[in-house]
Amino acid sequence: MSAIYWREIRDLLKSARFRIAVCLFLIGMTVNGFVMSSAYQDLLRMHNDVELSASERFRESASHVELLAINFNEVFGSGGHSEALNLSAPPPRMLPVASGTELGRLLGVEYNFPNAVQPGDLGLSNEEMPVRPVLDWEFMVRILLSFIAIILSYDLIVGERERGTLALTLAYPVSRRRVLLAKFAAVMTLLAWLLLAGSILSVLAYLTRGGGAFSASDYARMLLFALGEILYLAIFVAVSLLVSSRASASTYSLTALLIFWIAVVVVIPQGGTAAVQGFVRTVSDVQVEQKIMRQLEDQVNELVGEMDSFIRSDMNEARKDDFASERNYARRVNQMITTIKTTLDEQQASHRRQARIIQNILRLTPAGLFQLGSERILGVGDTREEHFLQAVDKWAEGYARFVQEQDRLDPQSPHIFYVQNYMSQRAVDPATIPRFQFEELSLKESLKNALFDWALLIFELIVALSLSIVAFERAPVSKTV
Amino acid sequence: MNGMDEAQADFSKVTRTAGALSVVRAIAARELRDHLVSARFRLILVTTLALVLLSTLAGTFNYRAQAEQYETALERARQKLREATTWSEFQPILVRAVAPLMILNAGFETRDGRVVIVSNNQIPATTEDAPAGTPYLARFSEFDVTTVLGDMLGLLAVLLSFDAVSGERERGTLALSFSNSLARWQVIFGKYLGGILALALALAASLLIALIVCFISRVHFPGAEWPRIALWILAILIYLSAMFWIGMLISVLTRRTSSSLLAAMIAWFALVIFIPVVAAFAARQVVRSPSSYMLYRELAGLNEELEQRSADFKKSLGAPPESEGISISLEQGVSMSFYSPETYSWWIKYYARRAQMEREYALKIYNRIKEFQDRNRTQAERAFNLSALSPVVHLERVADELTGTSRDDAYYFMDAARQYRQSLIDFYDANHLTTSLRWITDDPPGTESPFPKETSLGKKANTEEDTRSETELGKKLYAQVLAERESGKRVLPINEIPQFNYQPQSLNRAISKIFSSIAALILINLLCAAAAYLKFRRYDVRRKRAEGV
Repeated sequence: MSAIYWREIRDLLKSARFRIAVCLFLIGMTVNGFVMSSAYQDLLRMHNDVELSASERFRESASHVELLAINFNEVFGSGGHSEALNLSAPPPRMLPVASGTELGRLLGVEYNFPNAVQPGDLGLSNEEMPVRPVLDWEFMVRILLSFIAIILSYDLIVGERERGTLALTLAYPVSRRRVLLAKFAAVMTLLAWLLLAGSILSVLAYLTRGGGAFSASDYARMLLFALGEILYLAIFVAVSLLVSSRASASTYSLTALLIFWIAVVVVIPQGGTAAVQGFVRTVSDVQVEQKIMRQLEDQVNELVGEMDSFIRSDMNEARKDDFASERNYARRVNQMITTIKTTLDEQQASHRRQARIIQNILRLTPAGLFQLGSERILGVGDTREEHFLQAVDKWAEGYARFVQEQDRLDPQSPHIFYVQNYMSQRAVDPATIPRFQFEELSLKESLKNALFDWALLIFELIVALSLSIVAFERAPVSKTV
Repeated sequence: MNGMDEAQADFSKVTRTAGALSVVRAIAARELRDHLVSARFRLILVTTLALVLLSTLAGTFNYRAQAEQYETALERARQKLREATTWSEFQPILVRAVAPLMILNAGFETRDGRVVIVSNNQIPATTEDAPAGTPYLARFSEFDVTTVLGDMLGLLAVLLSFDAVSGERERGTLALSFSNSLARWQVIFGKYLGGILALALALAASLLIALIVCFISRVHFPGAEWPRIALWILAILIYLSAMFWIGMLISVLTRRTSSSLLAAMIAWFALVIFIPVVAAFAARQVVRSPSSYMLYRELAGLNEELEQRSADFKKSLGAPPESEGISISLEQGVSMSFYSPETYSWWIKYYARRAQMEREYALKIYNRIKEFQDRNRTQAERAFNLSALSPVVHLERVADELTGTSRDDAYYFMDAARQYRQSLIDFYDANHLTTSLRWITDDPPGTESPFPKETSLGKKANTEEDTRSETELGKKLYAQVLAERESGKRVLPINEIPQFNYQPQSLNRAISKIFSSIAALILINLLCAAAAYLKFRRYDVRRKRAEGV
């Protein structure tokens, strides 16, 4: 068995296709390291800027409790800042490995007091350029290495049959199953070394050019991801061996495998996504705007246009009927913000629904399983996006509670939100304001998220490998004329 | 190889009687027949047809959605135009029409918005309704008909040609051909003709499917689009021809079909899939991406500066003469009613200066946005140049321009919008509108103030009773003004304003933009054809005995 293993390795090492594969992969991985390091820096700079301006605004607003509410309310903002607050997550540390959806954009939201949160694009996306996938490790493996896996192994059996050496190989005192496994192991060994070399090059380029440092748990994630890489590539090698056992000529084997590859890697994921996009519509921005306008335009005009009649300038007079008019105003504003939040949530839900369907179509192929599984294990992509939005929601809740509590502490305040001068005018210690801090998904949660995809990949590998063993057991030894 | 033998028999007949071209025709016919019955042709054709069906269907859905959005925006634009009652409020909304050919080639059509606002304080540079899109889809590239045809038929082109020479050599039929004293150019040209015909048939079948889907979905292309479609088809053919010659070159460079197939696969993978992605990615390093977040912050800063300067100027004018009226502050303008002439002249002084400042800052903001866009454009251009070797990138650009879905088309519209704004500003200045009453008020001439002369809002009202009755009157008048605005009593005389006449980028202009890409595609054709021919002239047609059994 080991003789066959070493012979295959030697032959592949000498082949031109392996050299081309090495060149393409190593060049791609090095480019990845370089570009991702600058992308990381750019994203980090933006994130810091978002944080800085947020803390500036918190500090300014700390002078009056009411500013903490009014300054972050786009609908009824007053004073200099009538824009929503931006919050962002730092660029993912796994950026070069799998950027998910994040290279083009910094994860961010616009926040409206008390809780209307709209995902914003604080990105680097270039609208002038046609959409292209990002050259991260995940892409390199999913697209390039799977292709290379086929190219290295399509003729491992049919090639020998064509040359007439298969009978000689089978003359070794080992079972056919072991011969097949030796060939399988040989290709996988080369691919593993290639992966290792490429990853080291990329990490070196990334770290020396100022990309974000990796922690121990990041390296653990990388190792788990490497496991996924091996699983995914093994499926392609196993399928190649299967086809190679059955094919009557190596050209047929390669053609069939190529069509398999295109179906699995390009057609089903891309075509499926395009179809879902066409058939399952989401709520568009224009629709959201129209809906909000339709529901709220009259109310806004009334509330803003006649604010004077709602809110009495003489607070003592207002106190006589326990601020009935002001409370009415505040209640209506609150209703409006709830309406906005509901509409935005509906849009979010429609996006998520569409994404679920797309993900399930992706899962039909090993390529999709690998893509989703990788993003999950690395803590990027949609799981991170959702985690981020949840974190923002949680923070928003805490922040609104904090402002309310501060307001309640002041006996002078009539405790009416959204109304200038009807909230506490006391100052707050800026240090006590709850700040948004994003905690990445823990490794355990990531593992849990990826478990299904990884398990399915293992299942597919077992099936493919068993089938290829069965096929090889029955494979003809010599070319039939 | 029955057909082959027949063809050989055909040759011996025709070569004696007819000229060299009929030999070419005979070879082409044989090649075509062989291709059409081959498994790879059928398999890829079926896949392609299914994908074309899917992508056309998705395309029509997207087109419908865009067209609907366009109609809504247009309706809103008309309504806004009717609503304006003062010149400061007057802000025409321009909407770019949808290119119907986006069904065949999505281009940039779904990625940008179509609404542009033209006003005194804004130079059109970006659309108002650019879709944020869903983040989940950010990683997927387009999957329109052009992409499907470029990827799949490009693959077919390579698959039809990779064994054109090496395959015959391996089977030993090549030597046979030359025993009939065929010239080598006849062989290679005949094979090319047969291949390109097979590809043209596959293309025709795909387009038929696309057109049937369009027909069933009741999407009709206007007559003016058909020359564009014809040129688009021609461009795809030139691209397929380039891919075919690349396969042919590989075929003469290799000795065995297994290695020529391998080489062809790698070439297809590199040219169609790998190079465009690497180039787009590497371009980020060559030209660093500007951050849109930073841009918006800067723009917000400029806007704040404008407000500050405007407020300073207002302060320097002192307090406005007291009189009572209704003032409606609008998004970017103002509409006042019932004030005294003195108050109006004070406000005119302020708003005239403000209009000047707005123009100044509009230019500043525009320049900043342009800088941002230019940088992104440079990056995109670098990415394009880095992938210039790949025919599919040229096809993409050509298809975008020909179908009117390119970035250039959007910019062309933006240019027209900017020119329109300039003509509007010229109109304002020629009629001294920014210093006229109508800039700020919609009072019909000779309107008397309905407010009682004695009390005034500026002074503290004497009694609560006074305040209340005044508030009541103000409310009533406010409602009256709104109703009058609504019913069109205060409408602006907008008949004399310059009209926005926009014609989408003409076909000639589009063609002038894609000259280099067409040239590149033809060059790839010529270079590969010449190299293949030269190599084939010296090609050893005999099968070596040592090779494959």
